[in-house]
Order: sequence, then structure tokens, then C-alpha cells
Amino acid sequence: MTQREPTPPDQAEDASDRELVARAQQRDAAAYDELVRRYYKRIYALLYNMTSNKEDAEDLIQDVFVKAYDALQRFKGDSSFYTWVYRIAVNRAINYVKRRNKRAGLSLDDMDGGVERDKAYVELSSKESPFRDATLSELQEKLNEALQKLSDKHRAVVVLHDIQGVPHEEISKMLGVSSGTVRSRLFYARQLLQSELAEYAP
Amino acid sequence: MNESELKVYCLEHAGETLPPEAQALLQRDPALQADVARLVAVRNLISLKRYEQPADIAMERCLRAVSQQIRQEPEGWVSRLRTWFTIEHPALAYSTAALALVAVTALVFPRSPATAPLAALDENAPAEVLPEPVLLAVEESDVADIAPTIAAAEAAFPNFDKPIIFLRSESTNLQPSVPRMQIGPGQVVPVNFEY
Repeated sequence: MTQREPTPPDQAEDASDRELVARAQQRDAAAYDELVRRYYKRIYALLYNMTSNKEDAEDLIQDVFVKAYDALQRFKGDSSFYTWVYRIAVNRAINYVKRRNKRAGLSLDDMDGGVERDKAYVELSSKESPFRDATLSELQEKLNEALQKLSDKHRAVVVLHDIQGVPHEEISKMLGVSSGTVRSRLFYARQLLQSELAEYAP
Repeated sequence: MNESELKVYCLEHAGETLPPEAQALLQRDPALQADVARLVAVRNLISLKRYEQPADIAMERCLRAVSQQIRQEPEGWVSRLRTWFTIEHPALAYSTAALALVAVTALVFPRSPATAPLAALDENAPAEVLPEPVLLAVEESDVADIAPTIAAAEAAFPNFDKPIIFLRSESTNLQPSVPRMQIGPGQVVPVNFEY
């Protein structure tokens, strides 16, 4: 089964983050480099799923880490670094998507592998449904399109929860809204996606 | 919670472990069961979303770029102002840059002599006297030579109500740096000679 990626950091990782953050706040560039390395893939995945564009995600991620460094002195450690940097990334992605002209271009060859072995994928494709005949590429394209039809705030909760597996409470801290709001946004977004993806999930 | 609130609860917690009262409602309401099942199916479908892998060197490129920027970053208000401009208000940054460019251009490149008005010429400056006498009359023998020039001039200025004077001078290969011609006392105009 494909490992869902990225997953929130565990406690040990969080403690190690705090040490790196403290050093980075003293302008230790090597410590900050380590934080960038640690979160690059997770933040990239978030930005990609928010923008549905590889180039946009690659451009945006530099901006996120530079901005995070600029703001690091103001980081008091009330939340984990992971929550804090995710919050910056989500806000940057939302602002960016609002400004940009939609760019097409999905390189399906570069798609993260292993999804064919995902339990949910196997179950869905083995059922007697139109989904059975859909290729993986078609599915990814359809999911990208459907996500882009959501509003920014609804896309954010879907990406964070359903794709990246971030718990509701963490999302509420990242977005600065209550846990109940996160759940209701998620419910509303799934309803919209249900109509968009009706042929795959009737 | 009343029944309506419980239904919403079941839908918002689709696929999660429900408290007994919500489970009881779900068991006796087939329509709600179907709704919850659909939401779970959608969630499972969305969980299959994958992302395009970044380029192999993307992370190193990002690290270099971030490193470069943060090491160059001056501390204090300059840094904050730059962040405010470039990240929060890029449109304002572009406008300011354009304005600055216009101002610098105006300061560094004042109007060149070629674009200066004629009034800027010093009328009291002595005219540069051409080494050859200017012929103000056309000899009969030359009419045929300059006929095409006259025709072209008339075609170019069909309604010009002043006389057009054609001057011809033999080439001396002495090209004055600022050619001028004096017509009468004090009237100096720049002219352009083609040899």
C-alpha cells in the first residue's frame, strides 16, 4: 500500500524541530537548511495540490521558506514549527492562486508512483463501476480539475485533511478557524466534489 | 442534540467512529446511511490524489535560493519593508519601481540637443560662413538638372504658400559641424546639407 504522504511529524520530530528552530532564530543558516530539507516534500505536496501545477509549486516553495525565515524571529513556539510553516504555505498558496492566471499542464509521467497499489484504489477499481475502466492518469486529471473548482478555503481543508492526512485540530490552528468550521467546510467540499466526481464515486 | 443536529453530525463525521446516539440514528435511517456512504466514497477517492514529483534538483535549487536570499537579507526595518513590498504588496512595488525609473531617466538623460527647441540656439552667435558662395538664383542651364527636385518638392508641399528656395553649392568636402545659414541680418537657422 502506498504510504500516504506527507504525514504530520511525530513527537520526536517535533522536539528536534524546536531545537533547529532555536538555532535558526540565532541566524544559524545550517539549522534552517535542515528545516527546509525536512519539510520540503510535505510543503511541496501541499502547494502542488493547492495550485495543481508543478512549476507554480516549485516557485512558491522558495517564497514560503524565505518568508518563514523572515518571520522566524516572531515564532514563539505556541504551535509546532510544522503547523506554523504550513499556515504560511497555505496562506501564500491562497494568495498566489487568487492572483495567477490558471496555467494548464499536468505531467502525468511525473506523478507520484505506487497509487495503483493503494487499498482504496484497488477496491474502487475492482468494483463494477465506470471507475474500473478509468486510467490512473485520467483519475488524477479529474481530481485536479475537481479540486480547482473548489473555493480556496474549501480546497485547503480537503488538501490538508483528505490528501495530506492532517487532523482537524491541526487544520483549525493552521487556518485560524474552529474545528467545527473545518468539519463543516470539509463536509461542504465533499458534497461539491461528489457531484464533480459522480462518475467515479456514484 | 436533536435529530437534525445529529444528522449533520453524522455527515460531518462520515467514516469516523460515531457516538451511540449518532450510530442509532444512522442504523434506523437508510437515506442517511446512503449519504454517509457516498461521502466516505468521495473521501476515499480524493485520498488517491497524488502530486507530480518535483524535479530531482528542485530541493537543492530551492535550498540554494533560500540560502542566498536569507544570507543577503539585511536585518531590521529594511528587511521588513522589503518583505512588505515584495511579498505583501507586489503591485505597489512595481508602481514605485516604474516611477523611480522615470525619475532617474529624467535626471540622468535631460533633453538632448537633437530634441531641444530652436529657440535654444544662440541667435547672437556668428553664423558659420560657408566657404563657397550660395547661389540664390538658378541659371537657365541648371533648370533641367533640378527639375525632378522641384517636382518632388511641389508634390510634397502642394499647398505650401511660400516660395521654396533651392540652393546649390559645389561640394568642398568641408562639412561644418553645426551647419547654419544666415538669411538677412540676425536670422540664423540650422540647415542640413547633403553632399
